[in-house]
Amino acid sequence: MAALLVIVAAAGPFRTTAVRAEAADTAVYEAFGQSDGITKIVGDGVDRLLQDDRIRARFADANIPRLKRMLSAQFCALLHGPCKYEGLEMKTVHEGMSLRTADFNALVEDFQLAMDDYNVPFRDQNKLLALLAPMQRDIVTK
Amino acid sequence: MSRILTRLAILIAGALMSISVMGGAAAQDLFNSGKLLATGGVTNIEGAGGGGIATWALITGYETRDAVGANAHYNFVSLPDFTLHTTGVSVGLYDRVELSYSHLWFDTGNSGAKLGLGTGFTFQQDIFGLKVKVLGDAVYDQDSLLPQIAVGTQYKVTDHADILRAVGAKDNAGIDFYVAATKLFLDQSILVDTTLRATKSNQLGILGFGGPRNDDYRPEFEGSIAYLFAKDFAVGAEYRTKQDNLGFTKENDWKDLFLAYFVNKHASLTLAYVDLGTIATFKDQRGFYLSAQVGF
Repeated sequence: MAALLVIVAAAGPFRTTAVRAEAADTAVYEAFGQSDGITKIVGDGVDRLLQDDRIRARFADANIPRLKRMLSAQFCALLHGPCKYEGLEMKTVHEGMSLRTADFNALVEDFQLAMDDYNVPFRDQNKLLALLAPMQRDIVTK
Repeated sequence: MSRILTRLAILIAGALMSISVMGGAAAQDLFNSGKLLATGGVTNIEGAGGGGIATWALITGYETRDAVGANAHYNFVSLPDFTLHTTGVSVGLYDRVELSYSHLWFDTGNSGAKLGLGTGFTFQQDIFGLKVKVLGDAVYDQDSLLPQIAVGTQYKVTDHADILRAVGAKDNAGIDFYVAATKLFLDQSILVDTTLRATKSNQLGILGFGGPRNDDYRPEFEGSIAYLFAKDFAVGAEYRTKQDNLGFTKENDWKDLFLAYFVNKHASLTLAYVDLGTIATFKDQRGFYLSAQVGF
């Protein structure tokens, strides 16, 4: 009984935090204009990648509509929207592509411009980037 | 000697800039400016990558881990009774190693006469810096609380050794050792740095090293907190503890409030309000700090 009380007491504050975190996360999802907004921003960002001399060659063989769909689903899921990312893991997708940190950052810069285009506040942009940043370890292999 | 070093440093910086701007594909790869805006920090008062008065764990320049970056800087501090300016260059190698050289002029202006040194008497100092990133990544490790950690050392030598000894300093040259931890809390748009420095310096070593009150290495603290309110703007505050080794004057902790503007990856400007306390018996040295840097 005592042990149970301890568990309940310990779980209490965590549950509160989780609820609060969820509310905050939805706020970022809203700031991106929900699923529709994310789709537009990703479309804009990918179009910018394809114009970007630094990395356009990386996408020469890519299925662009699929890339846009996958990225939209991934961003939407990361921001706790009602989406599921069902693509491959980042490590698997980028294996053998010999991507460098500069390539990763070029993508970030193009998406920052896309988020600016759709008036996503800088603070909210950074909340998404904070979730993407650790993927650098799996994506950049060179 | 120092004038030659300064000119040489500026020449090297210019040459590197030309190569990076006009060079071919290989040069563009090596001098890629691939880091994200602002994540190389700015060049601080000692010529190291950091903020204004604090040295950070970030490696200077916009190079990524497979490239090379460099900066040239000019810093200016205007105080009620003194003027300080510095210029120099720094190189970032593979986002791992930072080498820096900075030359500092501490102009006593009219205060020089009051100190018995003569109007416009100027101390000059050379600062050679080496910093190595040893652990973590301030930008990418957003899923962990581990900061980017770097260790560094600075060799400083100030001229007019006879005068420095006459006012009680034990030496006109000294070596600092530091450990810096810097973390970008990207989801909060906040950057935090804490640095511990083992030093004997009096006013960065401008007034020499050690003194009648103390001649041992002691740990001092440097800290910065910055809020990034746009891709190209940061505001922040800094604090730096100081020793009080000399007998003829008190020495106080330094603090500042700064605004940094990153024009692009090739230029940045930092403006700060600084409170440097008492310097060489002159109290309330509050003024402004301006830093300009160009690089890649």
